[in-house]
Amino acid sequence: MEMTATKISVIIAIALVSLMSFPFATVTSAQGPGGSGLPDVKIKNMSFSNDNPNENDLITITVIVWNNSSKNLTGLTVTFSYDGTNITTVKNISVAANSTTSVPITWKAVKWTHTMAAVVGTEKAVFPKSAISRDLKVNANPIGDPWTILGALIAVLITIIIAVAFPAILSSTKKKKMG
Amino acid sequence: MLSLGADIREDLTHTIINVRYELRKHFRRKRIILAIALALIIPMMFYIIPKVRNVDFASTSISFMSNSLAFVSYLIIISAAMFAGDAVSGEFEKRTALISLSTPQRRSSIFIGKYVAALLAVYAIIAFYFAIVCIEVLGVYGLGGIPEATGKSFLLCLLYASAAVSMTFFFSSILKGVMTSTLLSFFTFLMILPIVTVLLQVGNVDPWFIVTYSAGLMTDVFVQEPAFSGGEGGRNRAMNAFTQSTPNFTVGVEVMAAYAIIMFIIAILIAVRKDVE
Repeated sequence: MEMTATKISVIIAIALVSLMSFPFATVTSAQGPGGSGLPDVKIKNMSFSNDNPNENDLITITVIVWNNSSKNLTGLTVTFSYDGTNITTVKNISVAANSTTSVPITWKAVKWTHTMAAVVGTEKAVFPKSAISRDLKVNANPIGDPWTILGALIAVLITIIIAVAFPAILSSTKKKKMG
Repeated sequence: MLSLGADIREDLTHTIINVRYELRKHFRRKRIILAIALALIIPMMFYIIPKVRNVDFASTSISFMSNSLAFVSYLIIISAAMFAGDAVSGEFEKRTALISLSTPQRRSSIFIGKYVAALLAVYAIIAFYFAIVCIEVLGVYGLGGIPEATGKSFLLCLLYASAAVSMTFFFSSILKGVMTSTLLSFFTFLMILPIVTVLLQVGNVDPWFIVTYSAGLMTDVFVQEPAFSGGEGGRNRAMNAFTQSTPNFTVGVEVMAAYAIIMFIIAILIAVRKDVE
């Protein structure tokens, strides 16, 4: 029997839904108020140890994970990123029912303004609604120091002085050799 | 017979006399006046045009300074070609070397004097340009408006000017025609070296050894956040590209100093051995 494109689409959709529900099986069966199958967990707050850091500073980013369900949750992960680039994923986080837990990480600050984000999930998927993001401006370090340039300019000056004196030194050496 | 010390002092005196003479010559030929006019008009445009068009100035003094100094490299190249382009080749083309080189002084004193005079003239033009830009910044952003990196940028401009003058002096010493040596130095800095830089970058080679690439440091020291579009990913990618195309500070300074010193030595060695036909 020939399968139509609609039938194939329906099969693919069912397969995708099945695959999407699989990762949540690792989390203890906490469900949101809507009964969507997703645990009612989210990140309440994101804070930085330094709100005005300089480039290459080590700063601690702390997020508060809130479990709003009546069941304990285990095996959670929190993925940290900046501008979509992954920083790290903290694994095996447990949050008791109706309580919070803080998850800190250390990050070496990269210059300019970034959107720092964190999202809760499991080993195999993330819970997009749990995500939080906050902008952080990292001051760039000044480029170079004036002493290096001054040193280079002095080297040029010394070369000129040597060039002025060199012919006299050369002729004096020649005269000495000739006695 | 003079002692070594007296001999060196005499050479130094001759060099200073030559520097004075060359500087007077630059004034007499109105070259300095022309270069000063350029150093006045270019930065003034960055102040006058927004005023006339009723457009806001750059949001920060760093941006204003960086924009105004974007053309200082062109001024350095023009000034170097103007003051050093004919320093050696001019003497041989116009046969004035027959008179100047027969005077009781070393050839090296004459040519070093010409080099130093060209260098001082270009330094003076750069100082004037910076003074104008600083006055504008004070006028627009107030007393605290002068960015900290201004001093570094100024010193980098002096170093780049040394490299540019040395290169121009080198071309002037190897070539016989004034026009040829001036144009060659001009095109080397404006076209040849920038094209080589781009080709190297296309081939994924870091052009750290190209002096015009190092010259980017003159404005790079005004560290400011680049404005990018294209969402978070786009900003991230663009920032990576921005970081990769910036010359390393220490390497850049060393490259500029190396060009200035090596080209100067080669140019003097060639100039003192050049024959008057």
